[in-house]
Amino acid sequence: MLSENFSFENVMIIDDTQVDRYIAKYVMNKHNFSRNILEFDMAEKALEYLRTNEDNPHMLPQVILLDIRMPEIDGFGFLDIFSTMPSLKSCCCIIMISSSLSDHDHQRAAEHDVVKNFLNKPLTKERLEDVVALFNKV
Amino acid sequence: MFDFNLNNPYGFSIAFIPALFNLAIVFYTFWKLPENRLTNVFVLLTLALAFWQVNDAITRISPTAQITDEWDNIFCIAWIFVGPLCLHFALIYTSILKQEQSRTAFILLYFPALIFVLLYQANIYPHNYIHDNFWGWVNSHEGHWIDIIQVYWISALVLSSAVLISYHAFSIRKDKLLKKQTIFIAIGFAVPTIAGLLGQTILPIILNRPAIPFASTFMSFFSVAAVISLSRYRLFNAVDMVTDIRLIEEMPFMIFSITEKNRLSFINKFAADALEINIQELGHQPADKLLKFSSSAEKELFFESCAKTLSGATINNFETSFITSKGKIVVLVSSRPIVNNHKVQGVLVAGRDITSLIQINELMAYNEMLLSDAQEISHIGSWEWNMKDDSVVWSNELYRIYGFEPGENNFDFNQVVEMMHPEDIQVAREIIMTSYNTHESFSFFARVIRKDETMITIHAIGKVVTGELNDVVKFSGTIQDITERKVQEEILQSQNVELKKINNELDKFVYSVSHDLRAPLLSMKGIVEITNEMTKEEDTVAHMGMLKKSISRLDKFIEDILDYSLNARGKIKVSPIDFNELMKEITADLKYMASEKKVVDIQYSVESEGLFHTDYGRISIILNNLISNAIRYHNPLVEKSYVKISVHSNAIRALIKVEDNGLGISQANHEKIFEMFYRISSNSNGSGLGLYIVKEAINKLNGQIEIDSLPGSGTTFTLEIPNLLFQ
Repeated sequence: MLSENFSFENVMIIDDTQVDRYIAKYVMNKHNFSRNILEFDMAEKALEYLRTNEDNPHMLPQVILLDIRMPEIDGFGFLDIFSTMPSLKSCCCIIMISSSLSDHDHQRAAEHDVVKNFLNKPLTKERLEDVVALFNKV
Repeated sequence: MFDFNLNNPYGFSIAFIPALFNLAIVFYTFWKLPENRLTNVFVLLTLALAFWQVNDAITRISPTAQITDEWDNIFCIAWIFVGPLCLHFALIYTSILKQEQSRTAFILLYFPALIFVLLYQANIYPHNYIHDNFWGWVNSHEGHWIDIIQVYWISALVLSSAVLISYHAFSIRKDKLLKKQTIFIAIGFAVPTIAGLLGQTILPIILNRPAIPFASTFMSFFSVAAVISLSRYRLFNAVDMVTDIRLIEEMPFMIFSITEKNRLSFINKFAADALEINIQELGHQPADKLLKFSSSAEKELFFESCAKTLSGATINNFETSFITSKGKIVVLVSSRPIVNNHKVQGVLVAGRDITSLIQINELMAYNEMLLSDAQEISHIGSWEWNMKDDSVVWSNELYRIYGFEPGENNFDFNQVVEMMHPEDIQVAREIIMTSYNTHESFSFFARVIRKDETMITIHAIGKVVTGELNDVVKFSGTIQDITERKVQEEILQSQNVELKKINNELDKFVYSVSHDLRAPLLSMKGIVEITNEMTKEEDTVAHMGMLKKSISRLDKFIEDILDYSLNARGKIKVSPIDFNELMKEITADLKYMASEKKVVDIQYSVESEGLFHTDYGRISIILNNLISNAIRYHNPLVEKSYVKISVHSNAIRALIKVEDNGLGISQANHEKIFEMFYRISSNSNGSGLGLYIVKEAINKLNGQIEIDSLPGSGTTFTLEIPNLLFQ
């Protein structure tokens, strides 16, 4: 299915697990979720990218798919730092993706208003459709 | 003799009217005044005076000396006895005459009177009368020497009575009331006495003329004065009335007397009742038969002491006991010899029933023993610290706690404090000082070095006892040896720490399971999904389907274990539940469930009266499991599979029904399905934990679950969950 009709211009994925990134990229590409996919295996690298491109809106992702459990800075650590960057908050939305079933994680994520949704792994077509629907509603 | 001549009514009247007064007083005293020696003599005296007055009245209307003498012979007994009666009255009134000297006094007083009466009536000396126009026939007293002695004797007795009473009246200093009474009586006494002495003794003898018998007119002065003062002040000597046997009868003391001849001569009612002795039998049975001693030894001892008492000894407070129908009674007896006329006449025994006292003593001793046992068992000693002399009193157990023999030493406060561990002394002192100042109780823990230098831990509690001036009089309290408890506490504490650590680790483990164990599984799932989309090759698609099924089963298993652990260990968090929202969420989650959901229709209806409160996590686990089971075990042969959920909630509870038309469960398995790891068939996909978790979670919420199911016709679970709003 080759179409120029992408749901998003830029989507960033932050996940330390290579297989998961691969699945996400595959599913997103297959279903035209995003024109560009920015792929990071560590939160630090993602933050650095965001900082350097803070003033270039066309380089910034509309959606960030964020894993929770990561070494060094984890998903929540990322959210804490991200919250201190007001210019980014206005144009980026964060979707948490996790294999966690813990209510506690869900609640902690929901405390941040930049977090728009909480998706369970693995990323599938249906789950991506939910995200698109969410944005269309807004 | 009854030939009277009433030509002198005035002379007659002034003697006869006072006589009537006196007779009235006799009756009044007889009926109204208490009966005792004094009033007895007073009644007789007044009666004698009345007869004297009647005699005088009669002599004034007698026509001849002959008739006068005849009357005089009759009434002489009255005027002769006035003398000794007067003195008798005075002696009793002034308390000179004691009760026990009565016999001698009686003889000394009344024997001469009897002689004089006999002599007068025997007419061995002439009675000379001279006629006077007003006074009638009057004694001339020129007579015989016996007559003179008699007159002097009466005069002397009356005069000494008057002197005694007057002296008594003046010698009373403190008792104003008694003084008044006595003066009143003394005056009443003095008036007729002076009149009598003047008219009948002094004038006739000095002036050698006939007697002027006007004394009788004044005699009623005495009796009126006496009766008024006696009845008005009522200062009777109670001792005179103590011998009243009725008093002794009813007193709650056993009083009885035993004679030399082993007879119970007297027993008061109280004793007779208590010892169950029939008073009728007193004369028929010897004392040792009537008194039922509880043992022959007691009996012997008692009569031994009786014998001692008979020989003059007095015995105080020895214990003996008797048998009665109500059981044994213990009596504390004292005995006294009854001495009369210099000889012991019998033994007076007075006893007190001390049965209940002894019972109380035994009970107290028993309680004391219990307390001491209790202290020993609980290692609690009690103490008192008296401020007055800084002395400290310890219970026996406290000595033992400190390693001493009970009562081994006496301590003062400082010595007690110094026995504590040096590091604890200062704190203990401060706590006690604060308590001293605030009057509040204290409680502290400290280490104590025992006598054998081992160390123990104590818990000391004390309270202030204040005196009338709100000053601290003493402290009293307890000290408990809690060394063993302390050791236990320390073990408990370390176990607690250990448990907390394990708990923490378990939490982490659960989190790890939920994430780390699932993460690779979900990656696999993702790969399967995309591979499925990539290929049309039939075998690969079939293999991918199988792989996916296995992954789902493993995932469900992990999820169940997680749910189980959350339910078993998590606290109940009560929050309001919106069942519509809850159902939406659950059906949304089930969306990702395998293809079965496409053929099972989920319907739900919610009726809520007010807010329903319970634990969100648990109710969610319960419904999730029940609904996913209904989907998983739907009946493929049925055209339209469904699961219907109905919720009725109110302020008390929620009734939830989960009804399906699935495969159903046979009656035999209705109990088993709630067991851990129980699965109905080996080819079912479940973990065997789902319904077990449902049951456990419902238990946590204090709810109930019932199953109604038949194979082939579906299953209905009925749940009742209480509303936890007020808990």
